[in-house]
Amino acid sequence: MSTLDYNKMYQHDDCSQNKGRVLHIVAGPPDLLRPHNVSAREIASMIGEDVQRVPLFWLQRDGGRHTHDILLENNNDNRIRVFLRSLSEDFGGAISPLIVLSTLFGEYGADNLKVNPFNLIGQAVREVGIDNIHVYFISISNIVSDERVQEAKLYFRRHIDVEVDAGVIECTPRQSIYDIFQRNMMANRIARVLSDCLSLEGISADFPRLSKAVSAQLDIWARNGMIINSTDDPDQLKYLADHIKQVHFGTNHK
Amino acid sequence: MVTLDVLIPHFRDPDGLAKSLRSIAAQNWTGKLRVLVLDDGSPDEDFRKAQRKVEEFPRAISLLRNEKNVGRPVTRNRLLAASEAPYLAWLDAGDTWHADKLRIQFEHLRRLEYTGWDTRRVWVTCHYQWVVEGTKPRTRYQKTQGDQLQNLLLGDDLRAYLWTLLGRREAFQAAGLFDEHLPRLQDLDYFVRFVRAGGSIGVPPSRLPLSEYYKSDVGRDHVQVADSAERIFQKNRSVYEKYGRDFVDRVLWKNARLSARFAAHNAAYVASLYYLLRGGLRVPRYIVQRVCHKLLSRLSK
Repeated sequence: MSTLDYNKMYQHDDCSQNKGRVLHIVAGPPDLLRPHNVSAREIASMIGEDVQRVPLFWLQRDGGRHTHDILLENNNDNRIRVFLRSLSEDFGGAISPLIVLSTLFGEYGADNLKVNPFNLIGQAVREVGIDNIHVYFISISNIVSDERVQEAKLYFRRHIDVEVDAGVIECTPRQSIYDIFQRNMMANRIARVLSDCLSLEGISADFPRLSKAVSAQLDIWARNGMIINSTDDPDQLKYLADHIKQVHFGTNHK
Repeated sequence: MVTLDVLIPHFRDPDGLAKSLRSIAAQNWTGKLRVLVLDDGSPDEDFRKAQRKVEEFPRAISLLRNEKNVGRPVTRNRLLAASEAPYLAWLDAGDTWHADKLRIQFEHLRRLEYTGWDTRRVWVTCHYQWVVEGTKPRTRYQKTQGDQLQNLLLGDDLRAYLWTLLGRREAFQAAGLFDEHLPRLQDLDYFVRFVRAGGSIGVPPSRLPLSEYYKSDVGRDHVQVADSAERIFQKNRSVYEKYGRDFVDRVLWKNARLSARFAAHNAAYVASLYYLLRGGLRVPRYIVQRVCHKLLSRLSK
């Protein structure tokens, strides 16, 4: 058989498929992304129409739906290799991939990490041919400072040999996921105060679980019409922490 | 570098081609794909129409043309030779894909790779809908568990349809080329060779049908169908016989009914009767068994 037995009559190349490869990374802050899960698809839509989360449904039923932290939780299988293949082959077109690594710069759950996130990103740059990395922090009420963004950018540049941009996605109350971010922020602030109270009494609490319990209590209050506005006033946080402690542990902390 | 080449043979069906291309353009898989359409010597007017449809396609596409009509297996082999991407998928002009097809199938390939499969020896098929004009679409589920070779040869639970497949280039290379002496049923022969060469067929866990097959027997030559079925049987006789005499008889009777159906749907009623009689004489024991079985089941009711 000869390939010359036919004639090429028409050819159209898709120019949108030839632009440089960009990887978008949402790097936190973890206080906004947990304990209540935030849809990575919604985060992607806040960045741009041509950005989509990298699905990891081959790894776990809801893999990549909220974060991609699961990639970092095991180094004994080939999940990183398959992820890199997916990044390379499933995202060559006009759509750029997004990964959400909530533990990148935070202590939140970092103990469980088996893979250094910067090693993962470095591998992606080398093996997939990423030309540019965009790092984002989600923010509400301007909680993420410019200094933090610049620090993250410098940190990336020290560890990853590729062009890096960093910025903030400011979420406004008009956006549908604002309430989740706000609830998460409050839950974490109260949980931190509560954790300190408990440790003074010699009780060591797992922070992510404590934060979930606080979030559940905030949900109950919200359902009963009691919305807690975001606050960083230490007295108010202490008052709320005491109240939750009383509900959950049955003692009044004075 | 394109990740996926979608290979489409075309002959005298520009409107069907347009429908197929629309379903490819609607895919929500986000990788790089290119469509290769090889026109198998359609008359100029049909070809010009097909060319217009191709020019409207928004993604990368190439249109090739055979100098003269050489048949589908030769055309498919030429498409294989013209393809360059590391992954291949097939579609016939007139059939369509659900928007999720490629995304779900690629995801399943990743799943298989993660769980340790060698994806150079795997084809991913999908459930599909049979659409027969004037009737309600019927969903057909591909069952990949059990003996895949036996299931393919029987064709009840696992059907050999090329347009259901996605796989790596190496996986298609494992099956070799299409048998150019098979104007019909070349898909079945191709599938059988793939599985006999150690290949495996997987299906995503989703129960969604991901393709629509617009099925029609009209205009298809029953002699070609009968000859092709016989050729496949002779080529794989040792395999059929491995499954026992009952299995061989069942397949031969099935082939006779298939040829009879094509003949009847094209108004060749004498030929249809001939295929049934010839088939029955070839497997008299099986026919007697079937008749007895049916009688007994009616009596017991």
